[in-house]
Amino acid sequence: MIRIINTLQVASASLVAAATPSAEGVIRAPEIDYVAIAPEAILVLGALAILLKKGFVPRRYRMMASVATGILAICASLIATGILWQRLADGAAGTAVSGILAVDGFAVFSKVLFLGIAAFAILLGVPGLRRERIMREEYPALVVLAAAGMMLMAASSDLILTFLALELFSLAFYVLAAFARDLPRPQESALKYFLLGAFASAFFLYGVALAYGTAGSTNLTSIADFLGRGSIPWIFVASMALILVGLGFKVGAVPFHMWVPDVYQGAPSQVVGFLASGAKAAGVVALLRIYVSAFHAARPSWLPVIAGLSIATMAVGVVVALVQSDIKRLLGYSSIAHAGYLLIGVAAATPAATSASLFYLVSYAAMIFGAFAIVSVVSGKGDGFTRIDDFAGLARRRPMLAAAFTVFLLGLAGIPPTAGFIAKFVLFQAAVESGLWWLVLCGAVASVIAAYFYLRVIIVMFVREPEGEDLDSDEPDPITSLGMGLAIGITLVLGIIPQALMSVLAGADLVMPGL
Amino acid sequence: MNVPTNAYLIFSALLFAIGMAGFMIRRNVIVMFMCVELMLNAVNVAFVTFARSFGDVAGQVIVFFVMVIAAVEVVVGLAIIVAIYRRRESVSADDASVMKG
Repeated sequence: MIRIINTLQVASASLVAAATPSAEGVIRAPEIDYVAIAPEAILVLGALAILLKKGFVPRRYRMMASVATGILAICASLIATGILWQRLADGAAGTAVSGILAVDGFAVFSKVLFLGIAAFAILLGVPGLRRERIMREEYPALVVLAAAGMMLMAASSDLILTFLALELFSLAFYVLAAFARDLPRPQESALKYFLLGAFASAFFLYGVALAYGTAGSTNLTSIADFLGRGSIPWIFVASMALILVGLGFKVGAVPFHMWVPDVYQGAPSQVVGFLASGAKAAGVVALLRIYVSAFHAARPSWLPVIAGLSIATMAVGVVVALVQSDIKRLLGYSSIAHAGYLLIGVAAATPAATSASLFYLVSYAAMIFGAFAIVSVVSGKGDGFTRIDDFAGLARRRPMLAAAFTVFLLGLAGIPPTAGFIAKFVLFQAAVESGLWWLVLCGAVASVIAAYFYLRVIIVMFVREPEGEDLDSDEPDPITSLGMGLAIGITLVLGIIPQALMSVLAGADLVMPGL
Repeated sequence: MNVPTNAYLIFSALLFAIGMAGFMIRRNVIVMFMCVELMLNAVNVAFVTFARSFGDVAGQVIVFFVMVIAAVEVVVGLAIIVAIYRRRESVSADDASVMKG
């Protein structure tokens, strides 16, 4: 055994020696800034602890230990992020770990957002999955791993790290989509999500290879320098298009949206809220980080493409949602439309539009989590009742649930006094300021059409008589109610006093390298 | 024999295109999955070519990352495919059509 390790060491040493161009043959290890990587490192360690504890914890405490470790990891990571924030406030923005990890207000705020999303995923997911009897010990591990991947997407300042982060959270989501693995619909949705996701990441990776080939580096700062020097070769334009395919798939932009309705309908409702808010936010922050900051000099080449994608995404999302009869599919198409609105923020490419996009992501996450929590309660075991008709008369059967659902649907429609209205308002305002009034016009028309299908669900809940069959939907348990209450709180508080978050977003320095 | 750099890049692009076409044409889930692996390896060829022409190790190191990711994808993908096969004894993508609309 020792001999094998020795041979391996000799072999690897000679490999490195052969590969290192420096004459001395001394390898200088990169300086690792442990404070900068602490938030993600803690989450990964937490996930490993959850997976390894099987041998140490007695069977009956295992589930409790998993969930507790998951919550602990998220709290510890939040503290580490707070320390990082404090360091930023002292004016130490920049990059860490050989320039592959950005430490700036954008990264740190996004980390807090993703930790919040992960906390919601545990708060709403654990009781929901227990109700369905598909809760497994690995759920908290997958949630924190996905959170670590999404946080790295926001902080990554190197395209290879972005690719690894993309795969880290995507793989966790593929498994989560397959969580109810013995039912046909979750199986099918997991298969579609996985195959199309792997296909899209191959495009992303090819884009990274071409960027490396033209700019000579995968580092975003070097790429920004390269683009700042003048003409943009056509291969780099191809590379930007390929990277856009990969990220467009994650946010669910048309024409890469085919998986969205199927996965939203097929996967268990308890995990769809996590997937809908997390994967979309991760894709959007990566688009902002890569296109708005690093590729800023190439904006004339990518602006028409992203604007076109945005218009197509809003149009398809809104129009197809009009004819849906399944509530989960409806929310799926509505999330496609929201991806279109968010792409307006990417196209605008100003610091104001970036902070508006972050505000939008926060409020969208709260609303979509809440909406899917209610769907998971109302639809009953195995997501059996997800037709919009199944919501008829909900106001009479479960008035509180109907009222909560109304808040979330009004928020998604963007009607005051919810956060959805303020989010759309600041986003559109930022886009108009950077001269994209025609894009905002399309967004406004799409929002008006979208209001129709959200209001239709509300009318069905309040006006229509319940159908004969008695649904076996239970009252939500206390933890689920707490999660829903929190989501309603965020939706309403951000709608009534948006300054609370706006001032944080303005105070956190959101200027990215390259801008 | 001296093969020009561009030949490798064209080879990589062709491999990528074959993988892409295969993914869209074939209906067997496992073959579709193999096509994705082909695309990833086509990218590896491109990375090595660029690294060689720049005299830069970074591109070659990236290939190791990609290989690990490809292996991890196999683990998750085959697990999902096996779960589906157990249920319906078929791995055709056309059979996965419960949801439409």
